[in-house]
Parts: sequence; C-alpha cells; structure tokens
Amino acid sequence: MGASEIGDASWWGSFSLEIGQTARWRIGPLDLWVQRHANEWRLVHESSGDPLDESLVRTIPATDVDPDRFEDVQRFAMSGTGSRLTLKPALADRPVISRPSTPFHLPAGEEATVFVSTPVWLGFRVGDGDGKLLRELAVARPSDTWFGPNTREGELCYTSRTYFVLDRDNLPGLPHRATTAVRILNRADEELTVDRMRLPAPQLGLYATPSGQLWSQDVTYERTEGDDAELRVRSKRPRSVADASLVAEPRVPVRGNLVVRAFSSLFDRGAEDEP
Amino acid sequence: MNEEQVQSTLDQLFTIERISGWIAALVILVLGIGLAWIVKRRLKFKRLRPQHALLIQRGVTYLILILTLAAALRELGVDLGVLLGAAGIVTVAVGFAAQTSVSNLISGLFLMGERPFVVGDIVTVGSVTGEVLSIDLMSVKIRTFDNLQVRVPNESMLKSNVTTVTRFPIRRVDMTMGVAYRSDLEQVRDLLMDLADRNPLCLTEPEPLFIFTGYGDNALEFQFSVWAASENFLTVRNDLYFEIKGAFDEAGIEIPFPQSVLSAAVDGPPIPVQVVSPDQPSSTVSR
Repeated sequence: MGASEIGDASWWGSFSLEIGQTARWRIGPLDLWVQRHANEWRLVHESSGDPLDESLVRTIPATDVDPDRFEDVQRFAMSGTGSRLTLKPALADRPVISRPSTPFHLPAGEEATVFVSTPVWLGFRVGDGDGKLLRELAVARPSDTWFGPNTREGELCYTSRTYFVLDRDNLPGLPHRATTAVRILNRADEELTVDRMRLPAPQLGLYATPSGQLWSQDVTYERTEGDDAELRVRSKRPRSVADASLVAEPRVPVRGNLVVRAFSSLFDRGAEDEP
Repeated sequence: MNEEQVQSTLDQLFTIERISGWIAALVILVLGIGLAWIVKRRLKFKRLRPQHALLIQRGVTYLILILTLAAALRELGVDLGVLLGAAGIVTVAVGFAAQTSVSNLISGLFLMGERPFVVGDIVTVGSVTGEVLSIDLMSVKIRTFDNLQVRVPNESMLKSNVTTVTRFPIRRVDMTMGVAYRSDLEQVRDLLMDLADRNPLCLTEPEPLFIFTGYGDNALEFQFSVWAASENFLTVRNDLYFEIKGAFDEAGIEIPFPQSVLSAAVDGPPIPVQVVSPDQPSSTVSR
C-alpha cells in the first residue's frame, strides 16, 4: 500500500504496520507520522495552521521518511508492540461556541434547525480491539473562548471557525469536521435573538456515513416560559443521514434532559470587557 | 514541724471525704481526657472545608479539656471563683506579653472565615508572589517561584493588599508598547488583532482590546490586551511578544528607542558644520 488520496472513504480505522515501518496521514492541516519499533511507538505531528485545509492523504508504509522530522517525537514504550494501530475520531472535549454570519431573530412560537460544523479530535490507539489510547490530537486546534455572563463565571470553550447555517448545503464539506443539527424551539412569549450558540460537544456521540461524512447526535434546545430551557440529545443516529453508524460514544454520557438556566445567555452576547 | 503536726496534716489530707474527692477528680479527668481524645479522633465534618473542620475540632477538644479540669478542681474543693479571678489577671499579663501572637491568631481566624484564597492559589502580598502552601492560625506559608518559603504573619496578611492571581479561570494579558510616528495605526491594530486571532490560546471572547494611550515622547503609545485561561497566561504573553516583534519587523513597523530632535534657535546663529574626510583624525579638525 503506498500513498493514496483517501477520497470519499474514511480516514480513520485500523491499520497494520510492521516493525521499522512508518505510516503517514495528512488530514486537513494535520500531518501525522507513526513509526513502529520493537518496543515503542513513535508519533510526530505538525499543523499547517489552515483549519479549512481539505487535504486527505494516507501513505502506508511511508518511504520518504525524513529523520529530522522525528526530533520532536513523542515516544510510547511498551514490552512489545503489536502490528495493529487505530485512528479514531471524536468530538471536542469542551463545548464549542459558534455564530451565524449575521445574527437572526426567532419569533415567539417559531422553531428553526441550524447546522453547526465543529472540529474533531483524533485518537491514536494501539493494540487489538479498540486498542489502548496513547494520544489524542485536535486535527485543527480551535481557539479558546470564554462563555459566561461575565469574566468571573462561565466556562472555557472552543470557538468554531465556521459560521452555523440554516441551510446545510452552505457548510464546508471538510472531512475533519463533524456536523450537528440543532433544533431551536422558542416556546416563550418573547422573540429570541440568536447571536451565538453553545454546542455541548462532550455530550454528543459521533456518527459516520459510508462516504466518510461525520455527524453528531441531534440536539434540541427548547425555550419554555420564563428564561429556562431544556436541552435534549437525540439518542439515535442523526435524522439528516439515513445510513450513519456510531464511531465514538459521547465523552460524558447524558442521562435524561438537561435543564439550562438563563436560556437567552446561550444565544446572546457574552462577557463584556472594560479597559 | 513535729510529729504531731505532720500527723494532723496527713489526717486532714486523707480524710474519707478528701480521698473520695481525689478519686472523683481522677475519674472526671480520665473521662474528660478520654472524651477529648475521642472527639479529636472521631469528630468529622465532611461538609466543611478541612481548615474549618480542624478549627471546630480543636475548639471542641479544648473546651472539653477546660470543663474537665474545672470540674476536677471543684471536686477537690478548689474555689473556682478565686481561680478565675487569678486567671483573669494572668490573662491580662499574658495578653500584653503575647500581643503579636494573639493578634496573629485572631487575624488567622478572620482569614479562615473570609477565605480570600485557598491552599494552592497563587497570591501576591507586598513584594512576595508565590503559591500558598498552608494557612495556619499564626501565619500563611508561601512558596515563591524561585523555591523559597516565605512565612507571612496573619496580621500582615489582613492589613495589606493581597492579590489572588488564580482566583478566576481567565486573565487578561496587558501589553503596552509604542510604534514610530510614521506608522499606520490601523495597520498596527489589524496586525495585532490577526496575531491574537491566529493564536489558539488567546480567547476570542472577551475580544482582544486595542487602546491608544497617547502621543508619547518617542512613539505612538498603545495598550494591546488579550484574554487567556489563567494557566496559559505566561505562555500567551511570551508567545505574543515574540510574534509581535516578528510581525512588526516583517511589516516594516518600527518600535522606536528614545530619541531627541535638535533644531537651531530661530534668531540664533547658524550651527557650523564641517565636512571631515574619513582618514582625517578628529583632533586635527579646527574649530
């Protein structure tokens, strides 16, 4: 097996590597080399920095290995290495905040479904079955952001580099990002301004279509009377794709519905700063 | 003292009432100390913070011991009123002698109640910055970043300004700098905003701030502030200073050093200027 454009197929899965061989992946901005030795695995990665890079190349075994690349290597020692290594995608380990290109309003009693694209993480595992997780890397590390009413209360989240959209065809079709359908129901008497949105990525499972598209479980935010709301996560595969299969369980399992206080804060402007 | 006197003293000491009093006092002491020991070992306050639990535990133990001692002395026929009066005088004397210690002790209680910081926080007190190792009744122990232990008396802690660096999860990195007067400030601002946007550790919200602070002696002065998670504060500050210098150099934006412009007085004589060839020694130039 040599270098191949992965095309429509998925970039994750299990692969076999002999002792002394190197495997190389280029997934969007991430360049990844994995080298197998008798008693250790070596991992090198670097990023081109462009989160919208569409590259998708897999080379097993890679022959043009530059030894200089292996200076900043991460080494994992073990009593003996097996031939099997697995790459597995997962959603972000913190909630992701995304915005529409321009804020929109949701009148009282209306509902809307928006589509959010979030970056995925790549788990590097070795061994039989699901394998042992040695390292997790963001394919394109998103920026940190703060989500809360002020700079004292809130949580650290990631920012999605892309806008969320009302028409799913407008999302960039990147192989290293997952799409989530979020249904927003405004059951309150007041109009809701949607300026940004918090997606609970650690609580969502990740699904993949046969063509390699990644989708997360569907999310519903229902704003009830007052400013409280319920967050529901659909337990089955996403509605928008018919033949998707589960590739990663949620990091934090959700039991029942989550009640969200101050619903409007999930969608309105965040912490203000003063000089 | 003759034999009779000794005999009478012994008789007084070892009457049936006295002996029973001694036994009762001993039993009270043993029970009291036992109870104090049990309280010290067994009394747990799972809902309270460790410091508060320790304080309550010690308070209860000492109270039991004092009451036990008082009850035992009463059994021995000691007049507690006289003893308390004497204790009052002693307390005043000791109070004067141990003024500092008592002040520290009371300050310690206030500190524990107020909880401006907890063990593990990074604090700045006066010129000392470091990690809080322990908050005791008399003092707070701080480990500075060059690995020294500083003992700050609780009284000083209560009197001075204490900055808790790690109180909130995010912090603002403030950078003040200046660029040459010929620089395009809009270009400078866009360049800085772009650098912050590309650094994943800089928070996108709250947004970075660019504040023009004034026309300085040598430069257009401004403040550039970005937010970062508290644990990334130093990394972000270092990275940005490096990146800003690189980006300014690349864009031809000058960070000026102090400079002065000399000009001739309007009505004064012209400044004489003489051209000197490179091979002519300066000492031979005539004035």
